[in-house]
Amino acid sequence: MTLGRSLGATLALGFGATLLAVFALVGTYVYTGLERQVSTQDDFDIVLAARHTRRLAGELDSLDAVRAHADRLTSQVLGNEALSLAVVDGQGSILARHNVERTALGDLPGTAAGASSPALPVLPDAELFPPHATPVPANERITADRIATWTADGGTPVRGVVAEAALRDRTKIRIAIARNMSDRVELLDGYRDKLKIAGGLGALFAMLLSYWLIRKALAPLREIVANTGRITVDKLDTRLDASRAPRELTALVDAQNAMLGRLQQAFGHLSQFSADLAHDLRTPLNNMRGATEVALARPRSTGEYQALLESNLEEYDRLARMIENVLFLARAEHPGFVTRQRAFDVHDELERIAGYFEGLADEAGSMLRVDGHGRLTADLELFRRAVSNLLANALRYTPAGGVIVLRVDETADAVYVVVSNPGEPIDPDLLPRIFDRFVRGDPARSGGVPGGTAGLGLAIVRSVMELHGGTARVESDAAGTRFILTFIKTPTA
Amino acid sequence: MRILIVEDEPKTGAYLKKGLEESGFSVDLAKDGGEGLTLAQEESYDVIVLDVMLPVLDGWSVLKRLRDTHATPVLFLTARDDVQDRVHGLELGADDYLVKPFAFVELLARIRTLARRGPPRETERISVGDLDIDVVRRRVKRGTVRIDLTPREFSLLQLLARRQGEVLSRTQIASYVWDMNFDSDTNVVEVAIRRLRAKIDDEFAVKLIHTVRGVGYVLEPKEAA
Repeated sequence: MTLGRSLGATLALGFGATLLAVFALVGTYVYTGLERQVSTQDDFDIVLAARHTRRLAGELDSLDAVRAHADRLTSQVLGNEALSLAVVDGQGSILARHNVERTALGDLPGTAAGASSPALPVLPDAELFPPHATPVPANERITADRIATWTADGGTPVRGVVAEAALRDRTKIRIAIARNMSDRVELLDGYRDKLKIAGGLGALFAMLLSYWLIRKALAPLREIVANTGRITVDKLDTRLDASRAPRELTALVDAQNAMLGRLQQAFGHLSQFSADLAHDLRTPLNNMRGATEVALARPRSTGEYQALLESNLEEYDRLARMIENVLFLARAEHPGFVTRQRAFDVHDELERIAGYFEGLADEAGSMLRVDGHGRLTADLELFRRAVSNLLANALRYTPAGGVIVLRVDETADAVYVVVSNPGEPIDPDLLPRIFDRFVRGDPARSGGVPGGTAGLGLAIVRSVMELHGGTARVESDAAGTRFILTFIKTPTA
Repeated sequence: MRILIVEDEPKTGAYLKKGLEESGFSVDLAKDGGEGLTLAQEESYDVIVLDVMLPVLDGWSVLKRLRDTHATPVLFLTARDDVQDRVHGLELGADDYLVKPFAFVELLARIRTLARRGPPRETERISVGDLDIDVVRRRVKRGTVRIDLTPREFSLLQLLARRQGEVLSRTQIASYVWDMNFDSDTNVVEVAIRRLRAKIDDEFAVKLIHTVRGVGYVLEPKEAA
């Protein structure tokens, strides 16, 4: 068994996931932009400091002057705690320095953080800067693309540039400007974390909000479900309120209401049918019960007992026939009903049926005539049953001397079988219901006819026609009554 | 002829037993499927009448197990006349069936047919008392008086004469003579019998066609009561 997923949860999750993806993209974009902006700014600071220092150095006469004015050089990086500066001569002796403990520049032997040593050591290039940080020659402009990145001890990220400068006496010195990047990393990391948290919370909030909205939007649907659930057989007249449903659901509500209408009608027919059936069963039962009780009240002659049993037998027959007819109707409505169709000559068949009723018609003083020609493919047994019911009906209402006509007409796409009889026209109020079960032209009369179909004869005719995809209809006027069966020909492939 | 009835409903069982015994059969009655199967396997019967809805072992199971060893003709009784139900019974090896409620004469006729095994012999001449029917030339005489009948009347008379002494129900007659295989809601058969009587019996002292009240008709020579 699989449970249907909740529409609300699915949509909310979907919204959440979508929002999370959007936040991630936007966050990445913003973060990258910031990162680029910050690093451009930092590189600019480094380059600018290097250029200024080189220009200042160029104004100094000798190494001694550099030493003397070391504070002028280091002033270039004052005010920015992240920047550090070192100036060395050609032998690697440090001429000036500032803040070197914050970058790799501070890791030089003998220059441990905090220590101030007047005797500055001599160092090889390789130990001062990483190998790839090749110094920018004195005659070359310092640009951002000469900036190198390395890691100081302890994993501190550092960016810096090394440039040569020529003093007035043409002595070459080297200037190193480096920036400790850890504050930047911290800044960007913090920014990224904030973006993640804000994005995640935003998505979560959107998810909850959309779930709530969807639930709210689906509330009419739940109401429809609840109302539908309250409909029971005794409340089939209930209709769902389409005006309160959103537009998307009105079609559903309308369809449900239409279905309810059909169910109500069918159910009404069915309960009417059951009531009629029970009612019709009472009459023969009552006859038998009454007659038997009366007979048993005192001793009777054999002849009387026989008469009673015979009368009861008639009632049994009536009950059996009624049950048989009801069952036939029930089965005919079942989609699995099997008809055995075959082709036959309709005229011959009508002659046969007329022959069956001939004696009866004779006694009633009516005549039977068969007209027309046609061939039909149908279930012969059911065809006979339908026409016999119509003929029996016609005989019941034809005045003495009347002629009942059985007529067949065949056209290109249909076969019509018409049973017409003279007689009083049928009550126009009755006509639309005449094929319904238990509807009788004259309840007082036909109900008492022994072996009558108890108002099921014409219902059976209609059932038979429906089984053949055809129709049964009736016309009645001063000229008489005509029952018309229309069999639609199915194109034979 | 011996008949086994397997039927759990006491009233049904009782009237079937009584009716068949009075019709000259020797009848055993089993009240459930188990007892029925045992009797059917141990005794020798000409026909078995089997109800479908039975306690212990239902009719279908009885039939199925019986067919492993015996070919005794079986007629089953059912209250459900679904086509599938009938087909199921016949596939399992039943020889005939009747849907409740049925006319007792109908059951009698079916049992006789099953016991006879094979269609009744078609004779060219049938005589009942002084009635003489020439089937080939379709001529009917009582004594020396020739009687003219319509084709339907002749068919009806022929049916009654071939089954002389046997009660035929209206449904059976409608089915044999007119091929109308549904319960008619009219008294067509009564009218036809009345008309046949007018030609066959009215002029003669010895009446041949008799009404069995509420049941049907029988043809046999019998002095009018």
